[in-house]
Amino acid sequence: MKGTATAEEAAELTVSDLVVDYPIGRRRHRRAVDGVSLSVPAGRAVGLVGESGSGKSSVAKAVLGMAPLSAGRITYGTTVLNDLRGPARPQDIQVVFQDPYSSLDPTKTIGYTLQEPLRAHCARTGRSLSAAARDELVRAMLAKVGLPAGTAERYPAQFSGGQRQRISIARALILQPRLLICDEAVSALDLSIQAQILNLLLELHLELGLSLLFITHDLSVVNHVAEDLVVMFRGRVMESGSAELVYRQPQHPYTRQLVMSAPMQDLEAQRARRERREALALPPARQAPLGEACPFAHRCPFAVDRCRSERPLLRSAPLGGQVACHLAGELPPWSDEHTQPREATGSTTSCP
Amino acid sequence: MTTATDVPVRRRGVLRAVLATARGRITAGFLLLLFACCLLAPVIAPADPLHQNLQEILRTPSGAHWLGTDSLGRDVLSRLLYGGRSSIVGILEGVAAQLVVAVPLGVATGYLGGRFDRFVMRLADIVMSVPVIVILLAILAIFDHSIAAAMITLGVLGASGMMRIIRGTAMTVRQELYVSAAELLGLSRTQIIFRHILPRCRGVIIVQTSLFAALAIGIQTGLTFLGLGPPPPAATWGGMVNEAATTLSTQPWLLAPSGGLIALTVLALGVLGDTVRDVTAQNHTSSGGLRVKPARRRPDVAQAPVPEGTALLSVRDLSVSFLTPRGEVEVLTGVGFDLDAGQTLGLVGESGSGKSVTARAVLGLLEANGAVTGGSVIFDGRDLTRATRRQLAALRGTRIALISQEPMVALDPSFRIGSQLSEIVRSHARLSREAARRRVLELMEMVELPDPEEMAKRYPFQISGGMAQRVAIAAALAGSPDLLIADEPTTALDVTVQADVLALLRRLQRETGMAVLLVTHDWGVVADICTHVAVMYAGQVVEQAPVEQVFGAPAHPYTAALMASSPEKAPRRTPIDAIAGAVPPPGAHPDGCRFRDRCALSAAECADDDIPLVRLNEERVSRCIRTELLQAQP
Repeated sequence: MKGTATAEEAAELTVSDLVVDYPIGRRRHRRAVDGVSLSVPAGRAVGLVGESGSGKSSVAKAVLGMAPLSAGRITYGTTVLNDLRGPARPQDIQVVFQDPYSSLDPTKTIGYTLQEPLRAHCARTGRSLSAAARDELVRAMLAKVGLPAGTAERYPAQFSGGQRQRISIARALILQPRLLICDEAVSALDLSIQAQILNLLLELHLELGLSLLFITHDLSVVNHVAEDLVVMFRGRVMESGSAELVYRQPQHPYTRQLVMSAPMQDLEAQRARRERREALALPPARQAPLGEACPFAHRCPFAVDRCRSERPLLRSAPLGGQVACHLAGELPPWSDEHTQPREATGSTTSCP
Repeated sequence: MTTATDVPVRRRGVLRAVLATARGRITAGFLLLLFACCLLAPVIAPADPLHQNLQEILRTPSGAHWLGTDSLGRDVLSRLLYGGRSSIVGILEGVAAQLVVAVPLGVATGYLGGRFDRFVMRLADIVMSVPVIVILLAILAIFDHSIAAAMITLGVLGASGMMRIIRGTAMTVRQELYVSAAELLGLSRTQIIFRHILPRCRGVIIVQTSLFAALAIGIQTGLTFLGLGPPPPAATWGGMVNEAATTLSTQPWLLAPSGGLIALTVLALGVLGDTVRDVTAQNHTSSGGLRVKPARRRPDVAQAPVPEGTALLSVRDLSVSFLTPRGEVEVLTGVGFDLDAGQTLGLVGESGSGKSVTARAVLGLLEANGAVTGGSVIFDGRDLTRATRRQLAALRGTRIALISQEPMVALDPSFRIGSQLSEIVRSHARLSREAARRRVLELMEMVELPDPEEMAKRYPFQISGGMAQRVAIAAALAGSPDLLIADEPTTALDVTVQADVLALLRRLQRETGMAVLLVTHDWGVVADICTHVAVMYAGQVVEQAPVEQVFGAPAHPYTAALMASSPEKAPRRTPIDAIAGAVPPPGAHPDGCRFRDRCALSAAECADDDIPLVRLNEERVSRCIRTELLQAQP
């Protein structure tokens, strides 16, 4: 609590060799996360990016104690989180989910929703906090996320998606956590609202020193917020490193394809991106089964036989960072349209 | 705070909401009155229920006996009131027994799940398979005609049904993210159950309770009718029906008070349960449930001028209104744009801008509570807003096709992809089975589906979202349309798949020369595929121009602000130029310029009048009277 709590030191979140299997039916299971390691040092913003089915949200769930761990170790500072459930978990780690509608109890006022964690916390620690002090904390938190004080008396149904997401952020922050996990926290929002929420998260991160694990499928969003990037595909880490490097100089063919596929808000740049992508495009192919192979082999324009028979391990990449590719360093160099603008190619009309 | 109502409204409690409806008031009032009268029977009953007067048997209603007398001359009204006491006590006992068993078990199994859940559910299965009536007869024999024992037994045995329903609700609530959030914030399971799970189950509990009460009355009446309850002369409703049945031929009236009251009570409980269900279902939505009723059918729209242009699709002054619980709301105001063959027009805007409604209105596919209230949609020289349903149906699929955001929704999960496509192909042209199959494979190859032969044999749930969108595009192409309306076709897809689908659309357009109306919120998609853009804000087109001009220099402050709010446009880890506030909801648009409250360039004159579209050059219009200021900015 403000003023009363002992200033707890922020700690590093470490995930090592995480494996998450979801049961399907009786004996079978689906491997959602396959040996993922990453860390979020105190006060740092780490982006976890991947497409649907990449396992990025399963990593978040595992960190939050909401997914079954088959193997691996998750630690926060010196605390091992693997088997901690419920109130035993450190409240230093909080989350903002994607869906602003399911995130708030429709039967409770916003004030109640925000006070509840305070009450539970007081009950747990035996500290007493008067109703007035709780009200004050809630009002301060609502102000911090940019909502008027009258918000506390209202119900979630009276708020728009962007406002609900602000309320979710306020609830996550009310116990003054040190690490905020944002699981596609801005993906369901309109562009102008997304910008507002990103600004808010960035401000909290920069001013309060809040660590962020920012999970999204949107490269431009994660590149804006994160200092480090981890790229996942089919449950495995394909590439990791500083965001600047991974986004500007992707070294894994999958990351390259991801960057080339994201349409840019600029005619010339997008044209260049599209042409480069089309030059490398393969016909759509069925996903090869996972196993002792590179998960991207079936879609990789550079794949060789070895990629289909031997699993590439994450290793230090030539330009820095880490990459899980047998051909790292042997790939054609990547020229980026941001830093090296191409010459204008005549007319920009793209239709016949 | 633009979307929340300005007066803080407290959510009404279930009880108050029920009483706000007429049927809620009537049924609750009736039950309450009945309850009070039976409770006060010793005070208000006109006579002793056991007092016999053999001189006045089987009388019809009179001043002395409001409901007549029975075969022993006893006052029927008094007997009904006294009999009601035992019925109500019986119901309460049964309901209490059921709630005590069903609620804790239902909530616990639903929330905790696991082994405990499986054990309790197997037990419930066993209980459900037991014939209740046999048990009840045994109980009555053992406990010496004690209705209380029978009702409590009935409550316990009947609890398995209620428990299942509560468990189902609790399981749904458990999936809600706010339950996960509460767990992470350190709430214990007990706290979560009482604060978050149980309140959401309240509705089903009330409904189930009222239905069970109605059932209990029936069963109790049946038992007393059979003489299994308190022995005569004690007054019971079932006993009274029994007596009335024996004298049915001499005095049919006697059946009316007892039978009627039982029927009314059961009916009132049932209707009350329904009312509670309706009320709780709409309680958590801001709209309070949408009434589906057509807004005013387009009234006498002044005869639109004959289309002057040569555009394939020409939308002029299109206005659309929806009927909502708050009244009629205008969602589109004077929307207009042109689209020619071979062009791709991007309809860009945030949610609430009306871009999807525009696309639906062009197709004549507005929801039942919406209607075109003005303007025209000229497609190939014909006004679609005046076309009959049949004419529209003939156009859809053949001349105009639609692909939507959710390709899976467009496909029927119970049929193979090949047969669905074949059905569509054969609806467009009379083809033999074999010819249709060839056409289907051709279409599937056209949209680059790998291994068409094998793919045709699959069901929609066996393919990925990207593949499903390709199938949807194949279906749209089956009629060789001149105009393809694509409503956020790639929004639900991964970026790599999105790029593939956009490449496919571009290729198909090049080959067929069709026009595409693309609804999107993504400037990147616009940059990738569109030739023209119409930017929408709060139900109006605010700027329309070829893409080069819009990306080069936006001519409307909203266009500029929306483009600037992309994270791409800001240096890394610095604040983005976000637009403050939110899109005003339909019905709450400010006067004058609808964007002025959020606009950096707004001035006093922006509030004066409706802002007209200002023509900037041959191909470009902007709904801004200060656009030259924007152009002057660096």
